[in-house]
Amino acid sequence: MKLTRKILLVAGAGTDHIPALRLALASPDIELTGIVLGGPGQSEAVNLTRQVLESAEKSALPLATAGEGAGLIAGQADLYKDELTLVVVGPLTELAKALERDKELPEKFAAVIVKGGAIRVPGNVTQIAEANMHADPEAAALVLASGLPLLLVPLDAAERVCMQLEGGDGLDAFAAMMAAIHPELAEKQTMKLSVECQSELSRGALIADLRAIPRVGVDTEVCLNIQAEPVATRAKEVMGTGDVR
Amino acid sequence: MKKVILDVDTGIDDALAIAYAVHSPALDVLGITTTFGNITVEEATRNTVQILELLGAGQIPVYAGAKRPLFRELKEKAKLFHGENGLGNIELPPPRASVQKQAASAFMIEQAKKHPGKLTIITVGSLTNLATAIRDEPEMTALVERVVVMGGAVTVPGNRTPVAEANICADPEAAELVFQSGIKVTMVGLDVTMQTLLTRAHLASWREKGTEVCRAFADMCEFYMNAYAQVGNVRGCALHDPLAVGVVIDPTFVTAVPMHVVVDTSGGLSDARTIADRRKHPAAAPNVDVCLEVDRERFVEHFLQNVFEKNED
Repeated sequence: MKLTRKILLVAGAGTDHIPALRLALASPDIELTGIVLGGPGQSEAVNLTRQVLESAEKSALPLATAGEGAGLIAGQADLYKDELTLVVVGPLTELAKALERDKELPEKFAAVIVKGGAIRVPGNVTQIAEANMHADPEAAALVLASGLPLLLVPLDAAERVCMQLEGGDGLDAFAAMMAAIHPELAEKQTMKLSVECQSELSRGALIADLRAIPRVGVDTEVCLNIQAEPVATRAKEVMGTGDVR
Repeated sequence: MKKVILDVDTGIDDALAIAYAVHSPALDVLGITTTFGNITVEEATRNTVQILELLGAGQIPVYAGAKRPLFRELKEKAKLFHGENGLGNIELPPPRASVQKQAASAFMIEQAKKHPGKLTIITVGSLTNLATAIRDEPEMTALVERVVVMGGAVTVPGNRTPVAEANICADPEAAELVFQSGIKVTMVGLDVTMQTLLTRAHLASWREKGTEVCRAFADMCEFYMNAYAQVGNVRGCALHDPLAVGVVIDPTFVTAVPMHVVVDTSGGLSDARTIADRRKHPAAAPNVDVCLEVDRERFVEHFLQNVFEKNED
């Protein structure tokens, strides 16, 4: 018997989580338990998310909007103890708040997949910083240091997926959800990581100590590469052959 | 012949760079200026004179430079890599020649004015002397043909911190001043220098030559390689500073890409990082030619053939 895995999706204020959401809803052995959104109640992102849930007949799923996320994260961690996988494709603000609220939270998840950072590839907000880390570097640093069972999926992972698909930019969240649902596709390695919180110029940069003998940062599981072909194929299936976004 | 000033913090790989430069028929070494970094400027100056005399090139004038960074306190020297005396603790005869009275930065300005558009400055230590020269004489940015900087890391890890290279670490503000000044800069960073390799087999062949010079350099480099092994690089040592000289001798040793580069001077985790804008649509125009690829076999071969003897082209 194949166990159904429970996933709580944590997104930001934008709409780039939609492909990841569709993937979770279309995956037979996945039970989506709720969605945390960074936008306010009547924002485009929230309305679009509600539409997607409605068409999947999942309107009843818990949906937290701006400011409510930490509560839903902590609540579901208790409700589904040890069975819940958190997939974070937005800023880490709400997860950091939940960690401050519940010191035992790190022990309560099956896995925490975080889309964020850019290690060998350029950033997408500054030269070196990726949007989710840049949006709240302090929260990201807190999450890294928390002891959560993390798998970080940086921009590097989806680079080859994006190259395979016309208009495939913005599939980073999709790639993170793929890594959560199909861990066998993700190439993982442990790196020492830190997040720059102090420097104005480098703010939000994810710093991996890639020296021959690394010394700086927290040991973290990183998915630097995900098998591009199956991910691209699945993206087309889930999103239709047209605009994959 | 290309007119060059070599700015050094001698230093084992600096000594290799000096030997390579003074033996090159392509280069006219007008003078050597010294700075802190691997060691203090006083030690760098002494070592530079000793190395020149060892090489029989004591006629090349040496100019002492900055004692400390533009705005910061002097950091501890890199004893692990270069030894207490900066030359892997080998003993050389005391220097005979005296050091020039003129300051390093003043010499750079004087020579740039004397040879407008024809002077290349090669820096393989902190960028303090060059930054001082540009601050004292802003015309330097137009007068100097090109600056070749051994320093920085764009696509590879740092060697002093996860993101910062030692020469930039030595004086990040000076590096930032030089990079933003408008002077033409080629950055020979760890991206390319870490691809070059001097091995213990090379040292053995130097020892076989049996000359005093070859023995001294083999001893120094052995110390350097042992230090490299301690930080996880067991195959040998990189030819950081010699590659900067090599790029002036033959620019086709490397492939450089123009990029916009800024130096982090925050003092924290990212301090001294050379941040290049590698995005598809960079936010600013390029200010530095960043070396990203090196024809390492051809370079190492050329270096080994020319480092200890003058071969006419």
